[in-house]
Amino acid sequence: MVKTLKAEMWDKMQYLFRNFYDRMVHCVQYYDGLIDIPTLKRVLVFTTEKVPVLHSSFKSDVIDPYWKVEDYTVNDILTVRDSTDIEADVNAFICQSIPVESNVQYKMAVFNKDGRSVLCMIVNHMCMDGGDFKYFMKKLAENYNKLLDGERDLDIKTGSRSYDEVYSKLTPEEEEVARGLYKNISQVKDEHYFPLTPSSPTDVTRICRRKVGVKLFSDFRKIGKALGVTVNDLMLAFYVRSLYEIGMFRDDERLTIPCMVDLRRHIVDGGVHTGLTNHTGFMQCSTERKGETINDTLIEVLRSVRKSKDDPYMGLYSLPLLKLAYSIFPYIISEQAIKIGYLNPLIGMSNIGVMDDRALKMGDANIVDGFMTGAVKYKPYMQLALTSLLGDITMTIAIRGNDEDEKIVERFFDMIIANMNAFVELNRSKLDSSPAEK
Amino acid sequence: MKERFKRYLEQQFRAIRPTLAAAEYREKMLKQLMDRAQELRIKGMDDEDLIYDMCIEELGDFAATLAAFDEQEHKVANTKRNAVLGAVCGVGAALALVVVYLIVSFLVPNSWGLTWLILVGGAFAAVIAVAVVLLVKFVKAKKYLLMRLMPPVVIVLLCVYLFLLLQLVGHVEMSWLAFLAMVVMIAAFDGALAFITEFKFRWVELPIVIEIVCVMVYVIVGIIVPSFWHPGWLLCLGGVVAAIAEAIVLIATRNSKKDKKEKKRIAAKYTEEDESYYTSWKD
Repeated sequence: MVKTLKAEMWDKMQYLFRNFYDRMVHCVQYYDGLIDIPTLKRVLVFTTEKVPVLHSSFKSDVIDPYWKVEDYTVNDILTVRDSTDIEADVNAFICQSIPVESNVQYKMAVFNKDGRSVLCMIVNHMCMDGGDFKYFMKKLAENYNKLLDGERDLDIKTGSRSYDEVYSKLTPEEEEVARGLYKNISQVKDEHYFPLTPSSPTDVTRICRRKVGVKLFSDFRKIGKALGVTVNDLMLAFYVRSLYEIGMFRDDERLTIPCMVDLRRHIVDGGVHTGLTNHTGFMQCSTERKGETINDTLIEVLRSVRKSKDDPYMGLYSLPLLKLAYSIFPYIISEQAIKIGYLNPLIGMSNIGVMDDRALKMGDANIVDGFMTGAVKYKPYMQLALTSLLGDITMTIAIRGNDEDEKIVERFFDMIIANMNAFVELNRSKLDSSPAEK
Repeated sequence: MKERFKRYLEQQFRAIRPTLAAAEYREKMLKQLMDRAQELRIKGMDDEDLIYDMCIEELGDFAATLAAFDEQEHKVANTKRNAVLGAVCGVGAALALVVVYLIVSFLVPNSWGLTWLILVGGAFAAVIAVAVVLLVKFVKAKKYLLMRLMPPVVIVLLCVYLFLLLQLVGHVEMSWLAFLAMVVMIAAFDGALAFITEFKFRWVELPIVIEIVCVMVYVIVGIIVPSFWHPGWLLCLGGVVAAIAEAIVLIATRNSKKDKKEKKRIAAKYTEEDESYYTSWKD
C-alpha cells in the first residue's frame, strides 16, 4: 500500500526556494578517531524509520503536493570510503544535491584516513532547517553512543511538522495577534547585492569557508561581553561593514540585511517535541550608514536589532499570509501568487550557532573540527552562515560560481577578519579590563 | 527472533478472550512482526535486539490495541445478533401491517380504495425510523452535514402522507398547500440545525432561510387571502432586511467585544502600574 505524508507549509516554501538555491543543508564533522560503521548504520536505519519524511520522495501535485514514503536501504544513505585526499572527498560530497524525487532525502559519508574519520551529511532543506539539523546530529551521536554502551532505548523526536507549532508557547491572546500578522516582511526593497561575477555555464557549487581563529574570536567575544553585546550582533556588524567595503556602497547608504531567526523560541520546550522540520523566520537589520569606525557600525546594527528583539512576535510576520495563500488556492496557483509577493533577500546572514563538542562525541572519537552551512545560493543571492565549535567560528558562504567568485569571497572573508581585528584594536582597553573568562 | 515474537504475543494475548478470531489475529501479528523484522534487515539493520525492540515499539500500546480488538469482536457479535433481531422484527411488523390492511379492507365495506394508505403509512414509517436512526448515528459521529440530510427526508414523507390523508380521506380543499408548508418547514428546520451544530456558514445561511420562509409564507397567505398579494409582497424583502440587520448586529457585536477587550487590557495595564512598577528594574 502506498503511504503518503502531508506536505507541510514549510516543505512547500522550501520547494519554492529551489529557484534561489539548491535546497541542501550541509554538515561536516572531523573526528580524531574512527567511527564504527556497523553501529552508525544501525542508528541511521533507526532514525530513518522513525522519521518517514527522510525516506520519502516529494510529489509536486498541482493541487496539493505530498510526500510518498519510499523503500530504501542504508546503502542509499551512507557512503564509507578510505580517502587519500580528505578535503577533496569532503568537498565533492557536500557539493552534491539530492533531487526531491530521490527515495531518501539525506545522505551521509564517512571518509577515513590515518585512523581518523570525517562525517559529512547533506539533507534536503524541505525536511529540516539548521536548528533541527543540529538536533539531528546531536541525536545521531547520542544514539550511536547508547548502542556502543549496549543500551537500546534510542530516540528521536517524531511530533508534528506543522508550521503552526510556532504558536504553541503563546497565550491565546498573543496567538490571536500572531495569527493576524499578515504583513509581508519580504517586501523590503534593498537592491544591494554581493559583487559576484555574472552567471555563466562554468559556475559550479563552492562552499567557501574560513575560520576566525580561537584567539580573535575569544578577544572580540570578551569585548562584546564587556559592552553587553551578543556574538550575533558583533558578527552582523563585521558583516555589514565588510559588505559596505566590498560592495563599495556609499557610506551614507541604507543597507538592509535579513538575519535568520530560529522560531523555536516561540515553541513549547524549544521544539523538542515537534517533528523534524523548518521553523525559521527572519528579522531585518537595517543600518542607515556605515559609520566612521567599526564601533559606529555596531551602534547602527544595535539600533536596528533592538527593535526586532523587543518585538514579542519576532519572526512570526508573514506566516499567516503564506498559510492563507496555500489554503485558498490550489498549489500551482499559490506558488505563483507567493512568487509574485515574495522577494528573496539578495544578501543574508544565518547564525546556526554553537555545535556542542561534547554532545557530538562519537564513542572514543572526539570532534576536533566541523561546521554547518545552509543551501548553495544561486547568483546574485548570497548568505553568510556561521557555526561555532571548540571556541572558534567558521564562516561559510555557499555559492554557485567560478574561480573569480571564490577569490571575491576569500577577499570578503579577509575584510571580515580585518574588521574583527580593527574592533579588537579599537576596544583593547575593554579586553584588558574585562574579567578573565571562566 | 520468531520465538521471541511468539513469546511476546503469547503473553499479550492472554489478556483477551481466547476466541478463534483472536487466534487468527495472533498469527497475523506474528507474520506482520516477522515481515517488519525482515524489512529492517534488508534496510541495513543488523542488530537483532534493536530490530526486536523497534518492531515491538512500532506496535505502540499493544495491550490497548488488543483490548480494542476484543471489544470490537464482542461488538461485531452483538451487531450480528441485533441485525438478525431487527430483520425478524421488521418482517414481523410488515406482515402484521399486511394482516391489518387485509382485515380492515375485508371488514369495512367499500374501503379497498383507501386502505392501501395503511401500507403506504407503514412503508413511510419504516423509512422515517431508518432516517431517525441514521440521524442519531451521525450526531454521535459529529457528521453534522450528513445529519442535516435526514430531517428533510422525514418532513417530506410526513407532508406527503398528510396530503394523502387530507385529500383522500378528509377531502380538504387546497390540501396541496401541505407541499408549500413542507418547503417552509425544511428551510426553518435546517436553519435551526445550522445554529445548533454551529455550522461554519450559519450566518450566511440565516438570511437565505428567512428569504425562503418569507416568500413561501407570502405565497401561502396570498393564496388563502387574495387581498394579501399587495402590499404583502413587502414580505419578500424579509431576507434582504434580515441580511442587513444581521450584518449590523455582527459588526456591532464584534466592535463591542473588541472595545471590551481593549478596555480590559488598558485597565490591567493601569492596575499593574503600581509603586513597584516605578521602582523595579529588570536587571
